[in-house]
Amino acid sequence: MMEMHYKIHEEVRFVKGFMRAIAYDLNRCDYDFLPNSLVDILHKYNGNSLLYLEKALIAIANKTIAKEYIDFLIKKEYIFIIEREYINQFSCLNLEFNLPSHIFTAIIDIEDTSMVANYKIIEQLNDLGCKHLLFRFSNQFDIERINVFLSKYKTLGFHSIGIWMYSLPLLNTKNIKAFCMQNVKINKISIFNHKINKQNNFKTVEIQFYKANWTDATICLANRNNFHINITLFLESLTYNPYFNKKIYIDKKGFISNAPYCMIFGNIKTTNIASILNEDFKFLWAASKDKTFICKDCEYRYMCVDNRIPKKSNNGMFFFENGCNYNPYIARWKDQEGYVPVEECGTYDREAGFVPGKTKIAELNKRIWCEGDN
Amino acid sequence: MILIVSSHDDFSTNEIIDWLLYYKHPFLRISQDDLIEIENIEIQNNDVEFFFQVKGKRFSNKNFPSVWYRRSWLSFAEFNIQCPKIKSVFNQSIHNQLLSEKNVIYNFVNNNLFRDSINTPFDCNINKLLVLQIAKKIGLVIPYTKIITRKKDLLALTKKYNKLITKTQTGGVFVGSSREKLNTLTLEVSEEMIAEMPDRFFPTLFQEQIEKKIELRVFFLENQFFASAIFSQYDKQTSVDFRNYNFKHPNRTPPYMLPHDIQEKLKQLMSALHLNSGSIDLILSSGGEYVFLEVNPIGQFKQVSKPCNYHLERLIAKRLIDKDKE
Ligand code: SF4
Repeated sequence: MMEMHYKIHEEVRFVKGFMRAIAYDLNRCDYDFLPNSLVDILHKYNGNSLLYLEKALIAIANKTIAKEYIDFLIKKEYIFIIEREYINQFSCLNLEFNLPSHIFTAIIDIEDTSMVANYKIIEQLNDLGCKHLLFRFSNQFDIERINVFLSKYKTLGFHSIGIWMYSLPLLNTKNIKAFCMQNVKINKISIFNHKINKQNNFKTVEIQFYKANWTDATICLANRNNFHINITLFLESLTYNPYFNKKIYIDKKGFISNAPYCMIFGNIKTTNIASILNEDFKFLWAASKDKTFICKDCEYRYMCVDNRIPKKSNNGMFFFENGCNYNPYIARWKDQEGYVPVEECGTYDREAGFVPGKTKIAELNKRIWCEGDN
Repeated sequence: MILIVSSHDDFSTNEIIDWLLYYKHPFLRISQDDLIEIENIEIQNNDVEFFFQVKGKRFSNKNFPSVWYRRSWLSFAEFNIQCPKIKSVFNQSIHNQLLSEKNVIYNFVNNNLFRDSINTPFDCNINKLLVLQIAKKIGLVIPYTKIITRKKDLLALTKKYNKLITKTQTGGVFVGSSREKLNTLTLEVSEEMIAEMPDRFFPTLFQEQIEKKIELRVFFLENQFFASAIFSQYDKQTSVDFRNYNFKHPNRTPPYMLPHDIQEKLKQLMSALHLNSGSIDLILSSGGEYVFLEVNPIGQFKQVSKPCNYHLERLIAKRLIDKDKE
């Protein structure tokens, strides 16, 4: 029989973290945890005989486990098996990320609609290829007023619109539904200051009610329940910071920045948007997780979108002032047993970055992963 | 300027237009809903120029060195020929004459406008059987194919081939209304199906079912190939026709490079069919042969472009821009 070779499916990307790896299943939008040692072997022999893989796996585990791994990898279609002569016909996935947009996402706070109209904010964004808008309306806007505002922009080429609004007296399910029917591009509505927290979807629109005021919802740290695995986010995250890349924020007074709480680059009343899109403005776009201390050691780094503002250190890397809910050095989330903050796992310096304390980490991991299982 | 003829809701067209906007390149997009009013057609020495109005503006065919045909067709305003009110033989023959005149002009304008375009409205008319014949002549392997009208012939064929499939001789189309749907994708021929068939039936195409390692969907653009391997054989729902998409558990579709000799034969085939772009379906059989199935002139390149990240939308946009500058 012909010798069979294996190959990793290009739509599956094995991403190593400090402690463990994740198999990103980009076309089935799912993921699995794997040991780093398995990923090393899979990469090392990728395209080679299945026997090599088997042998290498037996060397780190035993025959039964090796067989189980291979069965698992084949069953999940993480790898496939084919005769050697065809292996080289399978080419690599192009990892380039590109969008036909100078700005892709815009967050616009709205208090004064005449400012939006006079300075042609929406038209300018449309000309820049913007596809996603998030309007955050002040408490002066009931659903009827929002509807009137949106009606002016229906013919423009946006793909989706999100709405943040206040829960005002006349708001009810009936008029929300009518509003969604009239504005087919709306994909998400967040309603703040509501009596209760609830979610009430209508067709493809996600409608979320919050008791909180909307300023409270602006900090969103990495949260494993909100992670998405898809090819677009993965590719974007390889090179860019997916929260900041091609994003713009215009506040209620017309000040332009990358996102809420970021540095101001000008005001819509005196500057047009295209003219501020210079290298300084795009600085945060390049703060990929690979170029960010701690995140670069995290296996979630190509599915994680968080809105902390990266700061530049002197050696071309970025760092965050606030810690994350996840510690990649022990693979533990804050709400999990055994979690300790990253700072306790080594020495952290804004210039040198995080230097893992090997003994300390080994000790912690032994406690969490070995003793905990007993 | 670039001319794009496509239905107004075609998503792939929108994506290409996003790139044209990004590169700030002028274009005109029309569909059958935009009436074209021909002003005049002048036949010069070795050139033709005609002026027309569409979408409230005046153009000449010379404005459009770069043309992309995707979907839809050109609608001409003057050709709204009314049926005669009084039905006499004379009126009817005048009416027929007008229709013939119309066709001459329609064809002439189409021929000229789409002379160097990427795809043309005529591409859709290719005869699938002729394509198989030419493919075979060029040396591509095709499945054993027979068009049958008698049950006894079909039964004889089932003895010869383990498994048979049947498909339309046109393209796969969705026939039906919201209540009833007829799936015209490729079907495996079952014993029950044969049992229900009458002794004589409408000429139907049957092919041997090729046992496959993988299916290949290839987008072809001006002698370049962009292929994706479809691992459909693991999935019952898609193993006969991968267009029976399984949305919950999509097939793996990694990028694939066709061997050189297959590329050369496909180039010959596309050239013989006068196609500069299209989607080609092949199978890599379990015996290791590349088996040619069919070509769809106006194929869906998105299914190849997105999972393999080929950026075909940008490539087509750039190609159109280059043609405009040539
Ligand atoms: S460490 Fe970085 S990449 Fe990992 S979860 Fe936290 S923010 Fe995301």
